[in-house]
Amino acid sequence: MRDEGELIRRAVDGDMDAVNELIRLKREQVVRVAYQVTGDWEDAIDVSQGVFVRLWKRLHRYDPSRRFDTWLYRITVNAAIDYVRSRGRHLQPLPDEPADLPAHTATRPVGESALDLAALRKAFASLSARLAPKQRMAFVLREVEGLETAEVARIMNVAESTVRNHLLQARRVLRRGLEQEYPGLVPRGSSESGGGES
Amino acid sequence: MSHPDLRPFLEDAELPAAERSRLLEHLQSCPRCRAEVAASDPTRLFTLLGDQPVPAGVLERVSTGAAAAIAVERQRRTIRPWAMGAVAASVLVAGVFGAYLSNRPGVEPPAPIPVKSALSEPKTAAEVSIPAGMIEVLESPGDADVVEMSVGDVQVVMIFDEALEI
Repeated sequence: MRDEGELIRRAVDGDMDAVNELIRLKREQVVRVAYQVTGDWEDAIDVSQGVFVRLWKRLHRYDPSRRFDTWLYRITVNAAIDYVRSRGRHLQPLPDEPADLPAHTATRPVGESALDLAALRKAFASLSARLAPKQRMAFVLREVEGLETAEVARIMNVAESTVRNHLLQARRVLRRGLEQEYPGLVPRGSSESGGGES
Repeated sequence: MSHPDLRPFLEDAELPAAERSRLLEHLQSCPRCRAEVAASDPTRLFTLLGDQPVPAGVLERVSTGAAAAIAVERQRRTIRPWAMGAVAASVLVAGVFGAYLSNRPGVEPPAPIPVKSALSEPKTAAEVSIPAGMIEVLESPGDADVVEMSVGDVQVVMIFDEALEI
């Protein structure tokens, strides 16, 4: 496997083969994050293509002493949020999910059935539209992408405490929405402990 | 079935990537542990959305579209400096020619030369009238940069479009 640092250096020097290889290497990461923000694969493709053009234009500004992925995540999340804003709309439900179906009938209790990822995604697409851009950015990067808080802070260019605050606010908004509109995803009462052997 | 200890996850501890991956894999298939997570904080279930595969064809469309868009940008970058250089050279030639005319003995100085640039307002080739036979329009897929200059009764129109061939 080609060394990523060397690939980036060649891309920065204007080697178009390296640019194209870099796109192939990073496209999945970029399109998945774009999808988490836009909630639509077509939009995610548009955003991703724009991200790589922006990346190519700004490659000469890249500081090799910093993590490339941090820089790329920042460009991607900002582009995805700008895209949603520019369309003047919120996140879209997935096409195969009837939008007019009442939320409580579209979900089933998560503890009583096989995991219904489509229902979970529908809930997230709908509820995350209520988050402020920074809250959504922090939640997607930390919770969905699984990045460390310190990394999210670098991407967002804020303090770690600010990221934790955004996460707290985001969870509060999402939890309230889940309880009100997707009660099927929130079991009544506590379940038994899941630790140890059963 | 063996169930992992969910407490670090529920307490928002930062798990090592491998451990987090194992935990998410378990949650995908274990209703009991999902119920425990949901009872503690249902928003943590959204963590499960991160591991989904990208639909077929999406990655290829990203690569192809990005490469095409970058190629267009590269082309623009190579055309613009040439176009601007040509405009500058034309203005210089017109100025020198005008100065020569105005300095000839017995010749009235001409009126100020109005120079109008339309660079800020791109026009298509179809919007400009070109004398037949001077320019052959091979293809005109998009906007062209057009510069119009008036020197007395003579009007000079310059078109910067790679689709045109003189």
